Amino acid sequence: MKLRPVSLVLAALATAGLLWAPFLILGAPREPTMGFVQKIFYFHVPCAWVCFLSAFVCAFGAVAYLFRDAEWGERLAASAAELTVLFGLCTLVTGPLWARKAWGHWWEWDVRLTLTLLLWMIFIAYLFARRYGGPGGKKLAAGLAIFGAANVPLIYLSVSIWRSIHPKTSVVPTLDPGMRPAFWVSFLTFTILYFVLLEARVALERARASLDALYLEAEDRGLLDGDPV
Amino acid sequence: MTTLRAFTCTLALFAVTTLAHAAPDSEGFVPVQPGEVLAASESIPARNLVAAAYGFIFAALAVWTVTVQVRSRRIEADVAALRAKLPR
Repeated sequence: MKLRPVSLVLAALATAGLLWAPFLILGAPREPTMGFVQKIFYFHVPCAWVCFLSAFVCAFGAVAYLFRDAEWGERLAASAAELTVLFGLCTLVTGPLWARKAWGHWWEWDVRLTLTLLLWMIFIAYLFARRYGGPGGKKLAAGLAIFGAANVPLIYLSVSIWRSIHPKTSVVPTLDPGMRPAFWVSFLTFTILYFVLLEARVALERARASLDALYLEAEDRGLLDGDPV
Repeated sequence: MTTLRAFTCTLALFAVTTLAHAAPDSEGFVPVQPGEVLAASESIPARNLVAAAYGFIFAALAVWTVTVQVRSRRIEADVAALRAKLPR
């Protein structure tokens, strides 16, 4: 797998951020109500942000594929869907670890938590539909991606619309100045990391597409009969 | 007759509801008796939870990166094998 020079620079930046962030997080002031467990917030929120961003990128690619028949859109959507599942999983695992201490139990069927779980399951469904959905699987998956992304604004606004025990969206804007460097470095690091991982994943899809083209060419020339590669 | 039956049923329903409300609530708050020793409440240290959260994220990212590398190598090997077969 070969990355472009700009991606290598971004990968180096993300690595530096991942190494630096824990020191900033440990050095950030301790929250009086929740104590040490509040430090999960510094990676939990960036994971959730990247998960949502990835859902939108996936929907963008899906729209390009559905309405413009763009193969690049399909490759982008598939790559972003896998990253949505990855960062969604990180969000869904780190959230309950925080909740165990803050709320006294791992999970609550709160509207935000439930919608986030639903989002994650929609993108799992995307990956299954694309892989096992047969000839129309990619189109079906693209449709799922659009529905999945439509869920994101609802997740973000859910704590304001419905009664919820999840911390409100005002937490980040009102963050204590001492906590801001740790949060924003983590936020930036995860955003950069996301684009590096996305490029690596898209490169894999591109390689897969060229392999498929080669298979077709080999089949046309009758080179594959009884001699699988 | 029907009216009488309906009246009896309503009365019975009212009696059952009232009795149910009058029964002592077994799930209510019970004060601590003098001299009673309370069991220590279960508590997971916050450090373990924070370490688990960060550990999980790093592990998940590492595993995913390795799977991309493995898939990429497999495809590159297949491409190289096919290219060797195809006359240029």
